[in-house]
Order: sequence, then structure tokens, then C-alpha cells
Amino acid sequence: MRQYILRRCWHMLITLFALMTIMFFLFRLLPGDPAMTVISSAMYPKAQEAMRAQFGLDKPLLQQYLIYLQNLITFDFGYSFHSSRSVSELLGGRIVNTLVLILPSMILAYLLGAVLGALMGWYRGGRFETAMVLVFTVLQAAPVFWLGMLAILLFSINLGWFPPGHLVTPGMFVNRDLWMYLSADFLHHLALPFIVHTSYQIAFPLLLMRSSMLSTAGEDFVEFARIKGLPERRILFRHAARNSMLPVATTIPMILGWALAGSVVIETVFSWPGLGLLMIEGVQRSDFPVVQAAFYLIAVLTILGTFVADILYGILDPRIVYD
Amino acid sequence: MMMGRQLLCAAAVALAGPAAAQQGKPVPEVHFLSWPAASYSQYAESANYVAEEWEKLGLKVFMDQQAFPNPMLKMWFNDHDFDAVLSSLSGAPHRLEPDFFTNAQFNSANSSPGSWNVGEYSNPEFDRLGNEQLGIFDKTKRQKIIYELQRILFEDQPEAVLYSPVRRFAVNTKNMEIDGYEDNPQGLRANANVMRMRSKRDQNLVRIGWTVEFSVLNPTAARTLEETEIAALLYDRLLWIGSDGVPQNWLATSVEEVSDTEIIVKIRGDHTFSDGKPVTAEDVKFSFDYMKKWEAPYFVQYLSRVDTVEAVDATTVRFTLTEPYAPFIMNTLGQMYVLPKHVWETLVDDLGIETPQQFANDNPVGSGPFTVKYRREGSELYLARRADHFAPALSDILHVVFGSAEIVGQSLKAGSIDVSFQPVPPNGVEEFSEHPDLKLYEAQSNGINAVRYKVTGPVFSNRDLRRALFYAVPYEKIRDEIQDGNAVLTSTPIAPVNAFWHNPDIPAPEHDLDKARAILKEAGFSWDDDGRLHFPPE
Repeated sequence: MRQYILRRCWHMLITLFALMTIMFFLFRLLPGDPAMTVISSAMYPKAQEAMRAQFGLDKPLLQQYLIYLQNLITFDFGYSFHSSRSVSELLGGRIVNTLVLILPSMILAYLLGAVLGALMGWYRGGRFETAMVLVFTVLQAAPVFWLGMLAILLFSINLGWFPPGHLVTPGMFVNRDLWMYLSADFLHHLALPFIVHTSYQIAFPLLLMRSSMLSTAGEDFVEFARIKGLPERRILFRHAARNSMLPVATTIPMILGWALAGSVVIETVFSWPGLGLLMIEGVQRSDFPVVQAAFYLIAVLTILGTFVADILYGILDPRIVYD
Repeated sequence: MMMGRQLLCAAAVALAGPAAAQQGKPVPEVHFLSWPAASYSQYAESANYVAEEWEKLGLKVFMDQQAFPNPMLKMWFNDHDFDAVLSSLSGAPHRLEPDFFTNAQFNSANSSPGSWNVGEYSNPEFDRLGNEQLGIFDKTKRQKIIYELQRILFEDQPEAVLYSPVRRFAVNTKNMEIDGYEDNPQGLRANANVMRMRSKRDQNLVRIGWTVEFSVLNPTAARTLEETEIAALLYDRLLWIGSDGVPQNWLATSVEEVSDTEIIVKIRGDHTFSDGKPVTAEDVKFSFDYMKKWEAPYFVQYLSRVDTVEAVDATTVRFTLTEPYAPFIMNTLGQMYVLPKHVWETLVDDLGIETPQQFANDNPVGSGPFTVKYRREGSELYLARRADHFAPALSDILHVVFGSAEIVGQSLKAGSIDVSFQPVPPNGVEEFSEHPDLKLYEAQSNGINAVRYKVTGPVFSNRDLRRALFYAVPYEKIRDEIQDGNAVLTSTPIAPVNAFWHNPDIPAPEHDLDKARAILKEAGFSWDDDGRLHFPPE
């Protein structure tokens, strides 16, 4: 086991290195020039030269790459090309906003998804299952920006139940502190993007749980539990569902990486100032340091998540042995 | 004589028929750099309309829609990778300075990558006059040369000017009003109008929505027009450019042109920065020296001709220029800010940063009409009015950032914001004007949309072709169908709204394909059996 973990750590480092290398060159292969984007209306050649020098873009590509690697190792993400702020400061401010929206939403999506998926697998072939499969397949297939826009049109504009975006009512809170995140105003703003995101995300754990449940439902131990005379509810949740949880549970550690990566669309639609919106702005402005740091963060979380999932598999399922 | 020969040639071709092989090479396919249709449909459509007419004349067009800003800006301004580009230069008060749309755009000295002369146009007479007007402070004398520059441009057609846009902005009158709207090229976004916004709510606050975030509060790091304009609310400029393009005193009380290279500016002696310290001539001198030393991206071009700045006494500053430079008053004095010396002087050392551009400046100390109450990254910027300013604003301002333009519009209708900085799209004007709470304000821009030719390229190096294509633009159709009437037609890059500098003798735009064909025929162009246009025989 120890050897396995060490080997996996080594693999993780290689994966991360390869990923960050690809990312570095990918951004620089993209057509366009950051100096052109960030100084737009004042395209004075001397100013461009000065900015290229300031951003280190005048150096040979290999040298830029080595500096980049050195900075990654020391967690120095540098300064944003666009605003005069350090990237860590920019990211730090935005991640909290993303997490308060995405994390509870993912947790709820998994809880509901697992319960509903278990029920659907158990009561297979009924009207309930057919209707649920239809609803959630449609929700997952629909682009999330479209769902978001429809929700805003219906619930914000036509019915006026929820605000169409933002963290809080503009102008209401001077300081961004815990009280702001606990206020009724914040929760009111959170509701619509939360519902839309949860509805979109629920389909994956739900369908996974359902198919896992389908194979478990026919197992001998389920039949044996029935023969023992256990109540149906107990068989469903204590025996069948518990054994079907494995595929769903092992995807849980990866939620964080997915959540950050998946925040792009929902945050843009709901003007939610999180990491996703920052990434969109970064790409539009060729703000390499911001986008690289954001991707780095997502990569690290996803790779770590996968690692934890692998380990978790062995703990949850005794049949799995690491050698 | 020349024309007679061409006519003879044309007659010979006509008599012998196309089979006589008197044709020159076919005009190569035109690489037309255009905008992404999804987000800039008006520009993309304008380019399509023009290309359709060109094709009627036998040109083959490859419409190359590229993503904006990248990579389009690079192809447009750095690589000059096009035969024609749908150019859109936005209007602004300081662009009423006539140099910008004439000499700066077409002087051959500005043809290097990254400069304005993207079509690499070159005409020695134009260059000579363009350089000459830069040194003339006398407006009437300079006007004559600016008129002449426009005439040369009309003759040479390095671009086909399409229109000067009229934009409409909307406010929700339930919660705010504008105390005397100034018809400014920037419309509601103009600081002159922001200062006149008055809230009707208990909280004396006007909420403005836009998809653009004001994330740069550091004047030394400002790069775009939007960034410099927001900074001007926090840091006073010496002069204020009025909507008529005439500089008005602001922090300055007088500007005296002692000679072509020496200007003396007197400033107010009673004004203070937001931390209570007085604004002095030393601060003015420091600001100019500091911005030049650290190569502030936006200002470096406007400071390049400033030789020395000297604080004569507490309220008098003497500027010495390296050469006579007439746009100095508007472009430099009208745009540069005055920074507090006591804040910036030791800032780089104190904070241990490499350049002042790395300073976030979240709580700016300035002498402007507003101070920053708070800024929330990615969503809000609250500007509190300074009641003790010499020209106080009427209300506090809250800038709210939105993810999409549609939601800005919907929030305005719902009353959750009071003003939209997002121009109302032409097809939305009717819907907005029917809304009981909304009021629209019109802004005649001094910006110009045009088809810019690469005059050193294989297609448009031919002047006759460019002159013929002046008649091949469906001007009125573009104005009425794409712009919904929200545009003013002009044949010169100095828009009619810039009345003093606009040359009224330049012929009006005219769409007439027969005239275009006649010019082409006369110049020796011909058409093959497939209708493809050929250059005159060599």
C-alpha cells in the first residue's frame, strides 16, 4: 500500500508537469498577442515594447518556460497582465465566491442524486422511473447557459422572485465578510444559480446510482434479505443502496476540481464574481498569468481528487488490493 | 494625354473583343478581415454588405471573420494581415483633436507594426502637411491644412468611410435623473454626464451597469480609454475636453502659449487631495516626470514631446516641448492627471515592487470629484462624491459589473440598476423607448467605421480601384438596415459632429455601381467571361 501511494505520488507529479507544460505552450500557440489586447486603444509601439518587457514576453520562449516552471514550484503566480494585482490575490478573492455556490450545490446534487437514483433503480420500469429518467436526461443534455437564461427569464424577469445575478444587492454591503455570506440578501441571490446548477449536476450521480442499483438489485444477498423477511425499505437503503454506492462514492473526491472547472458558464450567466468569470475574463484579455494559475489550481485539485478516489476505492471495497 | 491613351486602349479592347487577350491579371481574391458575427453582428454585417457590392463589380472576396480581440487585433494592427479590414475607431472627446483621425492614421511614419497606419498608406504631400499642422497652434491656419488632409484622403481613398455611429443609452427615470445632459461622443459614459446624475432615492446613489469592469484604478497602469476615464473621476486633469472639442479649464485656471514650445499653466491654489493636503505645481511637475519615467502605457505617447516641466511657483507650471506640438493642449494637458507627490514619490521603494504599475491602488488619494468608498473584485466599485470639490458631482456612483449585456438591459427595466453603460442595440431602441420608466439619450459619436485598405497589398495598391469602390458601398442600406438609422454618413474620417475640423466641401457618399464601373473601365480594368475583374494590362 505504501509503495503504491509513493508510486501514485510520482505519477501525479509527472502528470502535473506534463499538463502545465502543455498549457504553457498551448496559450502561446494561440493566435493573438496579449500586448495588443491589454493596451487596445493606446497602441503606441513604445508602450507595447515596455509592456512586453514588463510581462517578460520579450524573452525567448524557452527562458519564459523555465521562469514559469520555477514560479509554479514556488507558487509565485506573478501579476495579472490586465490589472495591477497579484494573481494569488485575485484568485483568492474569487475562489470563495465559487465555492459557496458550487460546493453546496454539488453536495446536494450528490445526495439527491444518490437517493433518487437508488429509488429509480429499485422501482425499475414504473412510471416514476420513466418520468425521472426523461426529466434528468433533458436537464443534463440542455446547455447550462440556456437553462440559466431560461431561469432568469422566468423567475427573475417574469415572476420577479429572484434577482437575475450577483452575490448581493449592489451597494448593500460595504465589506465582504462572513455577515455578507450569511445574510438573507446573499441567500436570495444564491438561490437561482444554486437551483440551476444543482438541477444540471444531479443527473450524473443519479444515472450512475441507478445503473449501479440495477445490477445490485438482482444479487443473491438482496434476495436473501427478502427471504429473511426484512422490510423492503431496509433492504433498499441498508443493503442494496449501500452496496451500489461504490461507483458514486469514488467520484466524490473529484468534485472539487470539477466544481471549479464547471463554474465558468453558470458564473457568466449569473454575473457571479467567481473563479469561472475570472477565467473567462482572463482568456478574453490574454491574461496568461491569471488563466495559467486558475488552470493549475483546477489541475492540482483534479489530480489530487483522482488520487484520493483511488485510495478510497481500496478502503471501501475490500476486494481491491494494492500491490 | 494619359486619359486619352487609356480610352484608346479601352476602345481597342472593345473592338477586338475579350478574346484579344488584352486583359491584365485577374484581381486577386480580397482577404477581408472582419468581426465575429455572434458578438459584433453590426460590424460583420456591414462588411458583408460591402463585399456583396464588390462581388457585383467582379471582385472575389474571402470574408475572414476572426475572434475579437484576439487574434483580430494582432492581424489588424501588428501583422497587417488583410487586404481590407472593417475598421471601427471609437469616438472620444480627446479624439476631436483633428490629428487623430487624419495624420495619426495615415502618416507613413506610423506604418510600423502596432501603429495606427495599418493600411501602410503613403503620400509625401500628406506626410508633409500632416507634420506641418502639428506645429501650428493658430486654429484657423491649422484648419486649412486639416481640410487639405481630408481632401487628399478623399482623392486617394486609403479607406472607404462608412458612417459615424449614433449610439443610444438608457436610464431608468424612476430612480434617477440627469441634470442637463451633455451631448457628448461618449454619451452617458462621459464623465461630464456621470457628474450630472442625480439619484431620486433616499440613498444618494446612482447605480450604473456595464459588462466592463473598472479593475484598474492605478493611473500609471491605465491602458484603455475606459480605464483613463474612470481614473479621471479620482484624479483631476488640468483641462477638461468639452463635447465641442474645446478644452476648458479644470484644475488649471489659465493656459498661456508663450511660444510654440513653451506653455505656462496656472492652477487653482485652493484645492486639496482627498487626504487634505494641498494640490501644488510641484505635484503637477512630479506627475508628468513620473509618468514619463515609468512609461505609463497610455500616456507615454503624449509625453514624448515634453522636454522639461518646471514648477515656477506654488501655482505656476512651465512646460517646454522638444518641438512645436499643437495637440499638446488637448491630448496631453487634457488627459494627464495630477498625482499627489507625497503618495507616489517613494511608493516603489516602500512597497518593494518593481514598477508603480504593480500597485493595486485600491484606496486612491486623488484630487478628483470622487473617492473610492469600496471596490469588490469582479462585481462593484463604489465612488463617493467629494462635497468639497470645486465642481462637485450630484450623487455617489456605484458601478455594477454584469456577465452579459442582456441582463444589464433586463436589470435596467426592472429598476435594479439606474443607468446602463451598454449602448442600446439598434434593434432594441423601439422596445426600450416604449418602456414607461426608461428614457433614451442619444450620443453622436466622433468615431468612424470604415473599410481600411492595405494600400501596399496586391489588390488595393491600385488607386483607381480604391476610387471606384467609393461608389460601391451601399451607404444608406447599411445605415438604415444594419444601424436602424442610427448613423451619420460621411466621406471624411473627421465626422460632421466635429464641426470645426470637418471639411464640408468633400462630396457626400454616393452609391452608384455604374459610376464605379465607368471609373474602372476608364482606368483600363476589364472583365472576363465569368465576370471576374482584371487589372489593366501592364
